[in-house]
Amino acid sequence: MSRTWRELSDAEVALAYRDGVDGAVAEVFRRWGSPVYTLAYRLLGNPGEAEEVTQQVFVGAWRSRSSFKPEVGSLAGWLLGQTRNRVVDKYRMRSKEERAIKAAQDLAFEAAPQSAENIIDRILLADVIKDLPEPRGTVLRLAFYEGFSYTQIADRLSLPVGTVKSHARRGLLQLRRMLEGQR
Amino acid sequence: MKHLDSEDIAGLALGENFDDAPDAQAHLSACFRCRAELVNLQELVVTGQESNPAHLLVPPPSLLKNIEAELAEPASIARRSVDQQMWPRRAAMTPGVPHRRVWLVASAAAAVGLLVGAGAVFLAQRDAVEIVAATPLTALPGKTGSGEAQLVRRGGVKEIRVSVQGGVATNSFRELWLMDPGGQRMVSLGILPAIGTGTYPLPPTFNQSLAPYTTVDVSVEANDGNSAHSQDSLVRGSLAGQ
Repeated sequence: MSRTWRELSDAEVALAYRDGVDGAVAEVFRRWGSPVYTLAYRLLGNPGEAEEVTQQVFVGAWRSRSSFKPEVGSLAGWLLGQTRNRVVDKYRMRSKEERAIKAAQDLAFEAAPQSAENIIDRILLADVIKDLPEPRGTVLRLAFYEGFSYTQIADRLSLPVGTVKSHARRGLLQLRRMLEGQR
Repeated sequence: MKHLDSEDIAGLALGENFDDAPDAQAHLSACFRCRAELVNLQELVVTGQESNPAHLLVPPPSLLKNIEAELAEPASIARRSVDQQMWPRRAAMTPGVPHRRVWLVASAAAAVGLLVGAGAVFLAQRDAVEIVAATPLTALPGKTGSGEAQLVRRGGVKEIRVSVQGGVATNSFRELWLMDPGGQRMVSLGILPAIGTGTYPLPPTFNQSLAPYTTVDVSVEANDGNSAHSQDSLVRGSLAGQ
């Protein structure tokens, strides 16, 4: 291919992956290895099992890549769905005793519940924010990650406050539409 | 009934006041649909705030090699009977890999926003961050809390990154320490922000090794002006060997 992998959009990489292009596994791992591993780690709580699940996901996903339907959702969403399923399998394989401990821990941390869906939404949202056109993406990143006010963002980006506000509002609505398309 | 404009609702979800939509408050108290829309967008804002890709964990680079190795195995393995596939094989991890893993952050996924100057060009930060070691932080007996600490090297500087849940109360704060395993000698790294997540650069004296201060400790400190450790620890983890 004349362009390098890094120049391709996420959607182009997803198509190349489905079509079984050489090198697609490495590129998909480079882009979504972290989200998959993070979800597995957050749900399982230890790096060894998270690695095991990540490996199962990437091996299984490549072998069943023809069942990925780009028109239904993103590759990131598909991979995270597979990750959640593998984690569920893993839970089932854990002994009763371990499950009891896990259940007790879950209760103890009830104050900060981390459901799979919630973690998946967060990961997908980061992916979606990345795809927003500028300066809209930066406006939302500054608002979300840095806690900046509209005025602070306007100062930082040398934009009128009204423009920042409009980008933030429309960006939020746009994110919701994009996220619905991802799931 | 005329419903609120969705952009105005988005503005409220983002924390704007009612200046732009003076009648919104009255409408919201009467209209279930607009209230539901507001709650939905407020939840999205919270998810957005929590979606910072800098908080993604990075798998060990060796994992890709293991995946490629497994995929390169003869096709007969891919055609295992359904029955065998019911029992997933243990991942083909290299035997004898020590527990201490060196994680390289290929920063694409963990790209952190970096803004340069007033013209403000958004750049994805490509600096390599190496996660040298990580430990879960577990609650001490009688405490409720959890967390995670990572020892990270970025551009030659070591940092401790922590994320802690629990132990928040009025009139107290949480403080991060490195101590020896006996808890006799310690160094304070600083106060934890309310959200419980922070990055703490280490002084150069730790460049070679953390020893003997290999235990990560988070204490609950009364707001009493006493800078010594309160001896009221919430969670701990070990970076032994670092």
